Amino acid sequence: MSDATRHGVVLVEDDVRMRRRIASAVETEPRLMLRCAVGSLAEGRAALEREKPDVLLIDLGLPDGDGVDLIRAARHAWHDLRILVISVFGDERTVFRAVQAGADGYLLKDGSPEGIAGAIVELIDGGYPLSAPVARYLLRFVQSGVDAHTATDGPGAGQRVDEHPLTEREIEVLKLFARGFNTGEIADLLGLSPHTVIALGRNIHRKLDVRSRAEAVYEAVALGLIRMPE
Amino acid sequence: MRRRWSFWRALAVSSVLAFAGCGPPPEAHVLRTADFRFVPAPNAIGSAELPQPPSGAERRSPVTLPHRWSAQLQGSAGTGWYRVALPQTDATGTPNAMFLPRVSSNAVVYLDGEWLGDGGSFGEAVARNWNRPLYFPIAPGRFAGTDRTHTVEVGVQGMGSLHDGLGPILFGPDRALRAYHVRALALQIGVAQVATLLSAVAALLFGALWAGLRREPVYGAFALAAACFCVNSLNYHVQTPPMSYWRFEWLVNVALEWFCACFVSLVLRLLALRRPRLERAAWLYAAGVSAVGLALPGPAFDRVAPWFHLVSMAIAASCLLAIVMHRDRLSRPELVAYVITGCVMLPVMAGDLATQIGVLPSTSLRLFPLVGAVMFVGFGAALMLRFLGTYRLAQQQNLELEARVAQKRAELEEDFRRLRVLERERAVGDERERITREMHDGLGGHLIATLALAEGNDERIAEALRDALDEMRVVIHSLDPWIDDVPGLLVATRARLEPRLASRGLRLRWAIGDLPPMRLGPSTSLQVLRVVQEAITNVLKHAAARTIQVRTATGHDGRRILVEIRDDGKGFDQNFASGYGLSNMRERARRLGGELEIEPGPTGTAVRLWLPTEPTDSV
Repeated sequence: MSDATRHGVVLVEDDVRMRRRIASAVETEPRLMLRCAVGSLAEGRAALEREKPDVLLIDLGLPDGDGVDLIRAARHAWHDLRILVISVFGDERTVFRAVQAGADGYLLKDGSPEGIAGAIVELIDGGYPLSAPVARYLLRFVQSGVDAHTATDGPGAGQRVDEHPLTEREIEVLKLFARGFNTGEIADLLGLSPHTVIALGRNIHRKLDVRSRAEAVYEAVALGLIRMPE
Repeated sequence: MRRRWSFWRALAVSSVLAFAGCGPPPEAHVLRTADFRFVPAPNAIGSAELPQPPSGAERRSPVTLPHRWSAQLQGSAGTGWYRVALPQTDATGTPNAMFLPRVSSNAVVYLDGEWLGDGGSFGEAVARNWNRPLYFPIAPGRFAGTDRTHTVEVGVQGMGSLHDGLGPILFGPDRALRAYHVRALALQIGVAQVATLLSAVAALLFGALWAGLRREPVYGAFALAAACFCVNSLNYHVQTPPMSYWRFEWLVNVALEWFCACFVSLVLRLLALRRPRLERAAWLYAAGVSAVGLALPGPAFDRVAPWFHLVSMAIAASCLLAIVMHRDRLSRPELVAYVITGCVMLPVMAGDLATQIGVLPSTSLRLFPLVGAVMFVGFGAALMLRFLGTYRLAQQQNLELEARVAQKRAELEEDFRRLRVLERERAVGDERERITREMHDGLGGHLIATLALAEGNDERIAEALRDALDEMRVVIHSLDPWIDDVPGLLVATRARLEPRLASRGLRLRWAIGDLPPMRLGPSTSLQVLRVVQEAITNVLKHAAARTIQVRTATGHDGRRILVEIRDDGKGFDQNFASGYGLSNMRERARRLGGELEIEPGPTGTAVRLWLPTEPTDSV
């Protein structure tokens, strides 16, 4: 496989051993090519400018700042960039904060090298349409009927919207993602091809405008506007 | 209905009886003829001396009593002398009396040339006796002489007003006339005094009410009307006014016009009608009459005043008509009070007016004060009802307002409480986030770095490090405010453990169904996470299984949910089953208010955790 068809990866991780571990995981995957592995926000920003990669792997706790800032800037500058947050715990708060800024998903730090590489490839293939935590909150939003866009500001704050743009099938898929099923399992359960599930996931993503909604949902949950449907 | 009729009939009969009793006693002689001579004295007022009867030689003309001057002597002030021969009486040994039912304005009586009595001052201001019956007892000794004929000279002081003159002269036994006098005094003077008193009280009462309730001008109008009426009613009983005769006449006449203007205002406000022009016209009329009264000489004004009163009366009558026309704007008791009052008042006013201008005999009883009293009682009662209604309404509104305030306060307190809870949750959340971040960036990073070192060198250390990391993640997931239900916990568990299951070649069968909503607190979350973690870890370490299934279900009664971890391995490790691990899991389930079931078997084991859907966060 030539360099041209391989997907460029920039890694920003301050812990040297961890950086090495993830770097080697990336290098084991022939479809990926590690362009640059750096340890600070400033270097990461420079590397993004220089390398224009396809994938950004980034730790949030960096010595010179919060990785979320770089995610936000990168998302703004390069719409097609795939961004994965490197997380120790995969806790939903961290993941949601990252998604809010524009990340596509997360990697667990102690994942096996194959696991890490696999997750990246899956993301590139569009197989990472919805992480379970994100799906959970989108579902809450859809079921509560509160339009998260108007939940926190504007004259129609907190008003109910009985219409949401999702089809029955999409809601079904969203529910399954929210319960932790992966793409393959959902495909099996619904008797669909994995590609269809991925496409449905992408639709949900697009229709609910996940990234711009993430912040509103986050705020709405924090304000107690969105609760579990009862 | 019948009872009401019988009440009205009784009232009518008793009032007829009361007036029937007004006739003179049969024992008395009613003297209706006299020889009259007028001594003009246009400027005589000011002399406090009693007028003396003229000497006997002058010419006199015979007149019939009651005698009014107005016909011949319009506007002339002076003294009219009436000489009357007393009928012969045998009862000279017993007390006799003379009674003058009508005199205007004052009189002095001489019997056989000797002073018998008088009605008060003849100077400025002349005693006003026009509505006051005068009574003069004659001691038995006065007729002691041998002469059987006796003459009476009655000197009447007139001011040139409309009702100057003399009514009939009654002569008879003192016993009968005294009783008659007392009754007449009560009817003419007593009633008027009561009317004055009542209207004064009404004026003060409603004036005070108005002072307190400025937004209710109806009370003010009533208070003013009462005050005007009070002044007017003085006309009927005040003998010596504290001002000049004509000033006082002006005052009482004008008071009636102002009363009518107030009455118009009152009725308009009662009916909530806005007729500012009509109201202004009524006030201007009263003011105009007052000005005319000031400009004209007293006697002249006295002559035209009845016609002004007639106009006012017409205005009052139209007001009553307006009340009837807009009856739907009044409560029933109010309407009844106004209509009855009006029906009584108007004819009486007309009758009094007719008496004043000479259409009816001057001896007719003046009923206006009596009617005024009735009116003030009627209107006052109606207004009191209205006030009570308003008061009750206000009280009710007050209660409603208080209730609303209490409700708002409760809402505010509830909001405040919620805010405090939210604030506290946020503070706790922030603290948890800080700790989580510290663990994430610090301890977590170190553990992972160490794990990277151990991997490939010492698998046992690596395993221990993975356990430690798992443990940390369990705690962190339990603290995560975003993970607050069972599916959330399972999703987190899957994300956490799947890499390890995959690395062991264990297939995960995920069967998480729809669960009833239930929110879990951090400590409940931690217990659930530990039970699930322990069950899965046990499979990982001991069961030698190929597949592990995580399944959820809702109990038949919907009151509890099931989390099942089933494997296809060789069964439970005996040490675990009998030892600390299992009893530890059972204990956790118990603390969650749930139950743990183990179903061991040669082809696999199922660990079932039942949880109540009602949140219990007592752990």
